[in-house]
This record gives sequence, C-alpha cells and structure tokens, in this order.
Amino acid sequence: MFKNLFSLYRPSFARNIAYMLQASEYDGRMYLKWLHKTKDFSKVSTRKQFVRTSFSNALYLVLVVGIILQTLIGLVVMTLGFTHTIIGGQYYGLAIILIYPLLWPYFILVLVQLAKYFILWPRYRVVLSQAEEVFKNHPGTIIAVLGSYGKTSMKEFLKIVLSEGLNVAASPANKNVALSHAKFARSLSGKEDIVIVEYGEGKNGDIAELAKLTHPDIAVITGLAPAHQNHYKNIKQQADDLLSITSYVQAKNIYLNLDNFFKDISLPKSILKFDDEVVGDLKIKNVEVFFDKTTFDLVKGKDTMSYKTNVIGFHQVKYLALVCLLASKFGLSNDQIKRGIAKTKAFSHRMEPYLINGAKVIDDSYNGNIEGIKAGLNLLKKLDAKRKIYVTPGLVDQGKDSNLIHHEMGKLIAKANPDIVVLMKNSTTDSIKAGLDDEGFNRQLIIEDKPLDFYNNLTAFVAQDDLVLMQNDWPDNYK
Amino acid sequence: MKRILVVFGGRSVEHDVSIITAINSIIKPLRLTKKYQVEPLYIAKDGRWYWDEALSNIETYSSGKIDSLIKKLKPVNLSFENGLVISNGKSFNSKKAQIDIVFPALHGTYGEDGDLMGLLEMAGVAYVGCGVAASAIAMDKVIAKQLAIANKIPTSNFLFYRSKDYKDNPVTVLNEINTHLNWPLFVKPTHLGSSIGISRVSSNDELGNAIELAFHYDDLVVVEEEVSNLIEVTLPIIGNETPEPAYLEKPTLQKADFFDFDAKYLRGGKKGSKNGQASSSYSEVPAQLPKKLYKAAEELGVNVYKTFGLSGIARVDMLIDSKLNKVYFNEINPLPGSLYSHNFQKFGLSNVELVEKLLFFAMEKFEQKNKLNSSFSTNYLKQF
Amino acid sequence: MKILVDDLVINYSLSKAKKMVMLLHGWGDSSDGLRIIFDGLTEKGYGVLSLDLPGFGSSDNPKTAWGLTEYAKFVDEFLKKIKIMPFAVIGHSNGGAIAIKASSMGLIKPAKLILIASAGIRSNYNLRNKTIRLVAKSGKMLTQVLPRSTRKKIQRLFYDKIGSDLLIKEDLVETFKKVVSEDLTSQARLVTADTLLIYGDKDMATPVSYGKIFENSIKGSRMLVLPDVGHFVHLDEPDRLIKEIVGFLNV
Repeated sequence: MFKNLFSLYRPSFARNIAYMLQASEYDGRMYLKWLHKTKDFSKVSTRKQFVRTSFSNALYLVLVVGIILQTLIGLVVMTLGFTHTIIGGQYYGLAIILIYPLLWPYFILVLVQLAKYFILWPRYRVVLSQAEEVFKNHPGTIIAVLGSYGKTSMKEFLKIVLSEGLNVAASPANKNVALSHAKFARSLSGKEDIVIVEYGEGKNGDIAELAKLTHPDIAVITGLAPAHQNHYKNIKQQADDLLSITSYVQAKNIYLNLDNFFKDISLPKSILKFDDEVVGDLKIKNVEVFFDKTTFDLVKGKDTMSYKTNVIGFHQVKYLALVCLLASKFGLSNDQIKRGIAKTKAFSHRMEPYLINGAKVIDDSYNGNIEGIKAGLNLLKKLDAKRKIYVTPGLVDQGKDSNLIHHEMGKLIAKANPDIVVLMKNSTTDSIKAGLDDEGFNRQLIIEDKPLDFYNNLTAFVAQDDLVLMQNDWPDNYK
Repeated sequence: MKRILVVFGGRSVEHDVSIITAINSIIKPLRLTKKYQVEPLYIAKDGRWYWDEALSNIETYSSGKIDSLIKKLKPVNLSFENGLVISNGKSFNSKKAQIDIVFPALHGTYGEDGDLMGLLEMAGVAYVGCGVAASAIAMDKVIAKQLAIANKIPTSNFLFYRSKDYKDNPVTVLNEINTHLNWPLFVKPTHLGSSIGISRVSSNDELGNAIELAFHYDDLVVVEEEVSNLIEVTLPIIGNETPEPAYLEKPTLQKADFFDFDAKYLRGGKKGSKNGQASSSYSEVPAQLPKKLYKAAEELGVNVYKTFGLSGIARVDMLIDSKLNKVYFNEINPLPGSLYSHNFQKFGLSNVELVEKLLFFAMEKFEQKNKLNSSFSTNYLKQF
Repeated sequence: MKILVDDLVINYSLSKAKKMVMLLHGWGDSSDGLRIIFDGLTEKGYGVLSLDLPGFGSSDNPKTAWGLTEYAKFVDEFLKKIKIMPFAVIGHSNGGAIAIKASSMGLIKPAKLILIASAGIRSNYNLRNKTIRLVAKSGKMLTQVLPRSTRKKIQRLFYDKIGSDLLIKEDLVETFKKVVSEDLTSQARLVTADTLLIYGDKDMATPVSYGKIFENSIKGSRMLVLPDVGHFVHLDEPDRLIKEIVGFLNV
C-alpha cells in the first residue's frame, strides 16, 4: 500500500509515464486503461525498456521539467506560507507538490494528442499521398500479405524464394502500418519485379486503408485468429476487415488459408483456399518435422518434388507450398524453387531453434495466438527428448474470453504432456492452471513471478537433450 | 522455507576456486528455485568466518571490495541449539539464523578434508556431501590407496615418506624407490587437492628435486608409478546408498605431463565460452572409450564410491592403461570444482536439479542417522 | 614444472636437447613472455630452459629485497639444482643485466651470450624516467592479450598514475630500486663469452646507446640494431630475431 503510494513519488515516475505512453504506441485509450490499472509505478517496466527516440525524449523532458517546476512552485508557496505572506501557504504548497502524480499523466496525454492533431497528422497526409503514387505507378507485381498470424513468415518465405530468380523488395520486419509503408515506398527503385507488403491490422478499416495506399495485385491471407479482439468488436468483424481486400484485388488473385476460424465464415467462391493438405493443384505429403528442419513432398499430378526447409512446424508447410505455387507462376524453375525453400529458416523468436548447453530450445516468444500455441504444442508432443519443458506467460489481448481461452490452453498444454511447465505469473496463470488440472496434469509445475530470473538463467534450468518450448511474449502493458 | 548455509572460501590454496563453486554452481541455482533461504558464509584466507548478503555476489570478489567489506563485518558466532545457529555479533542490529542444511563448498585442506564435517556433526545439522571419515580418507592419498588395495581395487604401485625420513636419509629413500618402482614416477604431496606440488620425473636428479618440492607443501609425500599408455578419466557420482554416476569424462587437452581436472575446467571456463559451457573443448563428455572399458571404469568408480563410504557427491579419478585395458583408481575429490555441473548437465541433470538433489541426499542421510542415534540413559553417574 | 631453490618455489619450462639455451626474462615479464623464443629455438633443435625469476610469473617472491647480485647467485643455484649447464644464455632487458652480472661474477660461463635490449646502464637518464618507461613498456606488453578498449583504459590509468608513484608490484618495490641502482658498464668488461647485442632503434627504455656502451665494454662483442623495433624485440620482429639468434648460435 505505502509502497504503491511511494512509487508515485519516485524519481523514476516521469520516465515510467513516458515509457507507458510509448509502450501503448501513444494510443490514448490504451494508455489510460493501463494507467488506471497500475498500482505500483516502479514495476511497469519490468519486461521491456524505455526506448529513447526524439519524441519520447521530448515527452520525458517535458515531464521532468514540469514536475520540477510544479515542485518549485509548491516550495515557493510553502515558503510564503512560513513567512506568513500567504496564510496557510505551507499546506497549499505541500498540496501542489503532492498532486503532481495526479496531474501530469493526464496533462502529458493532452500534449501528445495536440501534437498528433496539429503536427503529425497533416504531415502524414502528404507523405501518404506521395507513397500511394509510388505504389500505383510501380511496374512490378505487388503482393499484399495479411492475416492475424503468420504474415511475417509468409512475407519472408516469399522474399527468400522469389529472390532466387527475381528482383524482390519486401516491407521491413514488423513495420506494417501505413506510415512505415510510406517510408518503404521511398526505398523502392521501380525496377523490382515483385514488391511484398505486409499489412498490420488493428481496427476495422485498417486493411482497406492499406489496400488503398499500396494497390496490390495479389493478396495472401495467412489466417484468422482472435488476437486483437480488444479493437475489433468480434471475430466476424475481424474476418470482414481482412476480406475487405476483395474490393481491391481480383478474387482469383487472393489466396486464403482456410483455418478453423475461416471455416465458419462465408467466403467468396472464386478466391483460392488452401490448407495443410492442398494448396491449389499441389498436394502436401510426407511432412516430417525435426528439431531444426522440416521435410515435405509436393505432389502435382504424377510429379512429386521433395523439399527441405530449416523452418520447423507442420503448420508452416502450407505457406511454403503456396510460395512454391506462386514462384512457379512467376516462372521460377523447380531447381530455383527448391534452392529457395532450402534457404528459408526460422526468424528470431518465431519457432526459432537453438542449442543451450546441449538442450534444444525452440524460441516462439513472438507467437501471440491460440493457433500458434496449438502448432507449438503439437510439435512439442511429437519431437523426441529426454525431458520436455514448456514455458509461457499465457496469451495477450484475449479480451473477455481470456479465462476461457487460457483454460483451453491449459488443457492443450497438458495434452502435449511436457515434463515441466513453467508459467510466468500474471492474470492468466490461474486459468491455465485450472486447464492443466482438468486435464489431469501431474508433472512439475513452476510458477515464476520474476520472468527475467528464469529467462536470464535458462542455462541453470536445462540439461543435455532437454526440449524447451518458449511461447509468447508478455508485454507488461497488459498486466 | 528451508534455510541453507553455503560455506566457502577457506584457508586452502583453492580459496578462489571455492568462491566460484559456491556462487555460480550452488547459490545461484538454489536461489533460482525460490524454495530456499540461502545464506552465504565466507571463510576468509585468515580463517575468519563472515556472513553477509554481499558475500554471495561475485562482484564483491572480482572488484576487490571484499577486503574493505570484511574489515567492516563482524566475524560470525556459531552456536549449537537444535542444530546450527549462526549470528553476527551482539549489537542491536545483529542477525541470527537457524540453519536447516549446510552446503559445504570448500576445496582442499580445512574443509574438504573432513574438518568442517566434524564441526557440522557436532552441531547436529544436515549437510551436503561426504561425511567426516570419507572426506578425510578421500583427501589422504596414502590412506586412500591403502584402502583401495585392502579392497582389491587396483591402484598404481607407490611408496610414501615422511619429511623426517627423507631428510635424515635421502640416499636410502632414493635407493628404495629405485628398487621398488618403475620409471617414470609421480611425486605428490599427500593431502593437497589440486595439482600443486606434483611433479612427473624420469631421472634420479629430478626425483630428488621433486621430493623436496612436495615436502615444501606437505609432511607426507607419495611417490607412485605412472600408468603406461595412459588415458585419464574422471567420474562424478551423486547419491548415498545407491550411487548415481554421471558421464565418464576425459580431458582432451594434455598440455602438461599431467593435469588437474579442476584447473583444466576452470581454465577452460575463462577462455572457453559464455554460459559455463566451458569445458566442452577441454574435455570429452562422455569419454569416447570402447564400451567394455567404459563400463569397467564406471563400475570401478561406483565401487570406490561405495567402498569408501562416500555420500552426497564425489568425483573419482581413474587411470587407464589403454593397451592392457586395465583401470586403476587414482584419487577422490569429495567436492569437485563447480560440482562438475557441466558433466551432470550433459548427463541430463540441470544445475538447479543437481543442487536440489544434493539437498535431498543430505536430508536423507541426516534422517537416517537420526533414527539410529536416539540418546540413551544409564545409571552410571548415580554411583558417584 | 616447479622446483624448490633456496626455499622458493620456482616455475620453469624445460625442453631437453644436447645443446641447452637458457632464457632470462625482463622486469615485469615471465617465461611466458619469451615463449616465442622458446618455441623458435626448440623448433631448430635446441634444448631450452626458461624460468620465472623470483617475484615474477608463477614463482615465489624473494623473501628480502634482491639486487642483481642476488639474482645472479640465484640463477647459479637454480642451474646447479637442475643440473644443466647451458652453452648459451639469452637475456632480455633486466634478464640481460642479470646475465652480465652473473657472467662478471664467474657464476655462469656460457660459450655464447645474447643480450636483447639489455638493461644495466643507469647513467644517461635520471632513474625515475627510466623506471616509468620500462614499466610502461612492460605493462603494454602484458596487456596485449586484452581487448583494445580495456587496454586503452589501463594505459590511461597508468599514465594518470605516473604523477604519483611507481606502478609495480608493491612487494617488489625495494627489489626494483635495488636492481635499477646498479650500473654494469665496468662489470661488462669481465664478460668472456662470445656476445651478440641486439637492440631496436625505437627502443626508449633501453636505447641503442646502452648497447653501444656494452659493445665497447664486452670484448669481441657484436652489435645488431634492428630498424623500427622497440623494447620488445621478440614481439616486434620475432622471425628476424630467431634467425639472428640461430645464426649466432650455429657459428
């Protein structure tokens, strides 16, 4: 209680407020929600760090200067009180000083909003219209990659494989909003055969906005999963938003991963649907997953081609198959495609395998949805290991269904039968634990309340031939 | 929450190694479990005991702050009330703690050799590792070899001398060695844990100098035959009545004519790599040996563990004649440097699991002993 | 390998062959620092004996403050104990001074003597400057193994300290003062071995002028000045140095 109260007056308070603004991407609603939930401000930045940019620095500076000024004014008023210049001044002064933590978190938000409205937005509009010109007039094929999961992988697979025979440019990693695409547009030379753009979606209308900006010729929808329900009303609206791409791309040039959630949605007939078995005229066969590679065959009519990739996971094969399909349409030879597929590998923190002291670790910490959890646990179950360890903090951003989803997740974990489950303690822990219990999980369960203690000392927890699967990051703004 | 006292540092030449063992391989993993209250007890080079949280931080030693820190600290008081209680001074802010289990991390003399265990037995507190007699025997190369011979465990031929015997009659000693042992020979101080004071010699001139050097460190010196076609291996083992061997380990680096496992391991740790995967390039785990030979060495190691009454943890060093396929017992380390956690880790026991298992063995042994030794009363004193 | 000499534990490396060469390292250095020469000579078929002088490397510190005389006597004791009579002695810096001292006292009688950047001339500069230079150079070499940034930091630290005092092992301060207080100009005349003097022209600690003085004092000695080479000749020009040494020893 006192500790919480005291945290308001720690020197780090200003920095923590600036950090919270930054971590919620200067979104007023998210920031306020977080602000009101926070009790101990000294603990907001336990997982991530304040990143210094000129904007965040300016905010930090305003906060510091503001708080200091307010304190000085308070002191002056107090002094005047003591000298009887202002009657009761010492109390007013003290109040002025003490009130700063109630004032500045809001005042700074007002400043942020004003800055957005008067400075940033008008500037954005100019930049965006210039970018649209670039995309519109670009002679190459523009491929849009969208979906609630798997799009970064899909984009990278496409880039790696198509680069075997074509000049390819792709939007940079995790930069998938309009403004970053505008920056990406400026980097294009106009000589590219293929331009791949990843669409980030957060709220209704995002996809349409990006489609208008980038003028895609082909679209790949990688999947649907309730990962951003806080911003979409429901999964239907989320699906509709993704499918709004049909207004900008001809249906026959849209490829859609028919996953569990899309199965319940009525889809335009002429778009091409693919799944774990069939991708266009290709059939996926003989998928074998190892700790550090996956092998599979693609059957087309009477021909069978075998592929090897350093990407791991059954669920990735359909994307690679789609890449093969598209590559072949773009005129790449079988050898080029095969070579390209062999070059694909895991990306950082996405089913990325590495060894620690002989223990096999699969880092899937950027995964953030239940489909990804399933895929990971499926792999954990199938791979051989002396001992299996599963590590997760739960999923972020699951909205009102959070308890249900985490209960389900607990059951899924139990079914994968790891020897040790490590849960990073937070609001989802109890639901996961209940799910584990319901499925009769009776192996070791560790509930860790200092995640960094665990991650930084992983070497002390693992031994040779252990298999460790780490899924999902847990940004602390959802605590 | 059980309170664990980790005792390290000490008066032996292996003071520094002990600090590393305690902090990296014991305190850190114990704390990671969050199941125990871990108290660091540091024995300074002058033999004073100190207890302070800062003593569990490696920085304290690497930065040299340790000297000023222990000047400020009061030495620890021990008392035996329901086991072991430690306290630091009588002032108003003094701390006091009842200890549930002691985790000795001392290497070499005044600690690994049974001295500390004697104290802990008197206190009646559970502790990790070998008991008094086993530790003392393990750290005495002469008695260890004699015990091995008495139990038909092969060990290389040897002779041993007291300092006085040699000084009074060096020629007799040299003659005796020349008659009974085959060159080349190893000359070793009997009680030292690491390779300090050990020489490998192949002529009488060298022999004299080597004996002199060994007597510089110890009053009792062993002279033993070298095993030919030598492969040196070591086997870390944990457990009480049922020993659980880890992997047989063979160093790959043979820079000197002989080597010391701990020294090699630590040297590897410095240059080797980041996360304590140190020894990987300095030793082979498991040792690549013909199956039969591997099995034989493993069995010999376990046999030694049982015969010597070792408990908790120990490492048995062995010498193999690779032509005769014969395994010889060499010596025992009751507390291997860094607990040999790199080996257990490869064997499938993480650092955290290893220390927890050792605590379990400590309690197991302690409880077993308590069952036996219920006190009894006699009327003897009433006669007086 | 270790051996007990005058109750001091002495560390040494030995590779035996018919023709034995002894190496004596300089101040603040150790047998490890002359590893290049050790390996170079063993490769050419010579036996080499290289020791850590008391106070350095893995050897014990002398129990009292030693001067060149004590070091010279010690070298004699050591050789007697280990029963090796080197036909050649190579001394670097202070090791050179010890070799000259021991030769002049008749304690060692090698057929050949090679003095690399040998110290032992104490008149030209004031003592303090020389001390600093020698220590700075030694430090520079000792820190070669560290990453560049750390090395720079240490160097800066050192130069900051120069204003205050000597930067050497505290327990050897007295020994150091004693060692550097002795000038060997006249004693060098007593050296009878066939002597080769090697100096670097960029050497600030033991400049070429020292070599000139020894060249004049030691009968029949030859002097070789290597261009663009500093105090640590064996580090600056290892190949050339080995070639010159072997050429001289083979004659």
